[in-house]
Amino acid sequence: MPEFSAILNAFTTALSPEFLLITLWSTILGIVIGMLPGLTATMGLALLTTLTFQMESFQAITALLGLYVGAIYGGSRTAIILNMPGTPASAATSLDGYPLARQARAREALGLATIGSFFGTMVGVVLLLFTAPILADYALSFGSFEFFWLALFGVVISGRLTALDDPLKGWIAGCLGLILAMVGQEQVFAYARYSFGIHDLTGGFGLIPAMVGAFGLVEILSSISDNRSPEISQNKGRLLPRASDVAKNAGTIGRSGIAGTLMGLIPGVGEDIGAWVSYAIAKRLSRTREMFGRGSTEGLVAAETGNSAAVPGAIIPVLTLGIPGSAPSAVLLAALVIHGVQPGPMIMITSADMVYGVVAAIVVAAVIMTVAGVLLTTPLLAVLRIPRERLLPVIFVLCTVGAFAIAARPFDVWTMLGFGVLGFVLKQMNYPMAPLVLGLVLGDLLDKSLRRGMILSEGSLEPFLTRPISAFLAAATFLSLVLLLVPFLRRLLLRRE
Amino acid sequence: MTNHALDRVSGFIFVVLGLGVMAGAWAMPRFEAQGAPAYQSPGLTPGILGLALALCGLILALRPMQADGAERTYWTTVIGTPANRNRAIAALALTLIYGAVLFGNVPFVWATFAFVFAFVVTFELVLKPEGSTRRPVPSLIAASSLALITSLGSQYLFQTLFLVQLP
Repeated sequence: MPEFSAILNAFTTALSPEFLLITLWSTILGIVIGMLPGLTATMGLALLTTLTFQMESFQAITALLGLYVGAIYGGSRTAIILNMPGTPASAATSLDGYPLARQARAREALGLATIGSFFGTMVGVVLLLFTAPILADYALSFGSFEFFWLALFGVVISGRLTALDDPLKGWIAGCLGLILAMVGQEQVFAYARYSFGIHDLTGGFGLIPAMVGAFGLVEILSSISDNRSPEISQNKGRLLPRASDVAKNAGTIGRSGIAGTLMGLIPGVGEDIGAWVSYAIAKRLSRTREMFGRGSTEGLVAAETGNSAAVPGAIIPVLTLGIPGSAPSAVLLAALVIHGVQPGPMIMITSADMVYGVVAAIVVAAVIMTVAGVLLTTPLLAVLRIPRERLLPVIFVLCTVGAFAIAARPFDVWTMLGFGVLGFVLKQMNYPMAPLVLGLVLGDLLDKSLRRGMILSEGSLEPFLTRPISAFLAAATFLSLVLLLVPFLRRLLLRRE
Repeated sequence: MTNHALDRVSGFIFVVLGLGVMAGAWAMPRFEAQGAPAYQSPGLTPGILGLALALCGLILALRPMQADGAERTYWTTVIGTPANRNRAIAALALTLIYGAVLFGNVPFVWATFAFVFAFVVTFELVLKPEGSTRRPVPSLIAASSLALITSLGSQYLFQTLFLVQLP
């Protein structure tokens, strides 16, 4: 059990003026970074790690945590207002957030997202505090077999959810993404697949440039193509949801908080899968399932609660096992080591204060995020009033520079453009973008896990189907695929009769 | 072209692409000389994914027409409307010229200024939206100001604050 006095000490420190100021600026900076397309939590954390190198260790960690919490939340602002997820974690948020904004319910959507993020973070923090060692042990038991199914399951879920009318197109997009992820050097023999002798292709396609292209450029092209001026949302009404609305979504918040945290703590999975899985669970259990993807407040709350809960979730294996739960938490892990903290199973014995300090810093950051999110909502909504002919070129410049900034190589800008043009063409034919990008994210994990699993089992497929978690994920994946094939085969048979 | 016909065409394209991916996977070295079994081959996963894409493409191409197939097409919104089509082509041209040609070959501030100015002028004055009443002079002033602020502002943000060396 956590020590009450140690927790109290941690909160006393976190609420001191010095630390409060650090959390304030870092969280707001995180929100801004999360909002800007092309700037992600990972990139922000990496840049801030270099900028906080000279700071005292816990001050630096506090700043990084504030930015992490703020950036994952900040992505929801652009996802709702412009249908451009500011971070990969908010891709699921745009599914219902943007339709709500188009229905003149942007303020309500922003308010609900803020509340969802706050409670999501709180659920994650409670789980971090009380169950970190147990959950970390559980995450450790995952092997290649489970990761293979997890990656495949993620793409199948994404394909199904983002192409509600035609899941086949979602899966085709997912397959395309997984195939594109195969480009470049593989990890066993360092063989450059599908590189055709082009040096830049040996490194594969960068995730962030691809994401900026598939979500940013596609939206810019789609939006500017429309000759009619877009409808400006009527932003009337309450920003902060009524207590009854929050109470109505209490079940979704609780479930998504737990699901998001669990997804966060699984190494390498992270905030985006936390949001997708929370969204899938909420949809499965919803009475208004048909509204998902068309402006469901339940879907929005689930996605935002899920991705925010995954932040503390992803920190659990960082602290207790020294394994990152997500890409941003990998940067955090490196920062902890730089600042002399040794994460791992011994942390509760050697640096328990650091664990409680992290908990307190996340709680304070979540409160600041909520207050800042509410106060900054009105200026953010002004983005919708700016003529798109003036807003979109500025966004495209940020997309281009953001894609370039990650590795300072022009190839990333071309990747962004390529994915943008491909995405625009596919979008015109009703193919969703999210599974394509998710395939690109999970392709490496899928390949690595499949081949490592095969090596471990000496070529046998048995462990892929008999280990309990593998069996569960395999069954869920097959069920999802079979549910599509049944109506197809039925129609084919009926036509023959 | 109807939705169904378009799906059929795209389905066959994916079949060809999937088969191409499989062929590429088959042609990859298997490192048998180093004692690697077949399941360690670099082509294993791409081969399976190529097969999956080809199968999905085949289902898409062969599936019976759906109830909502009708006569409309997915393309109608953009390609089927001349005004929208022209705007899409112009946007594609401008973004590709900036991203693939100007960025990296022309100093960042000049490239960005030219792109933002051209974008605003093109879509506010040349290919103006339906019902737009914008006059040329205010639009030109706005385009110049926005281009200046964006080029200098983004350079300051990335180069000075985020320490990114821009071209």
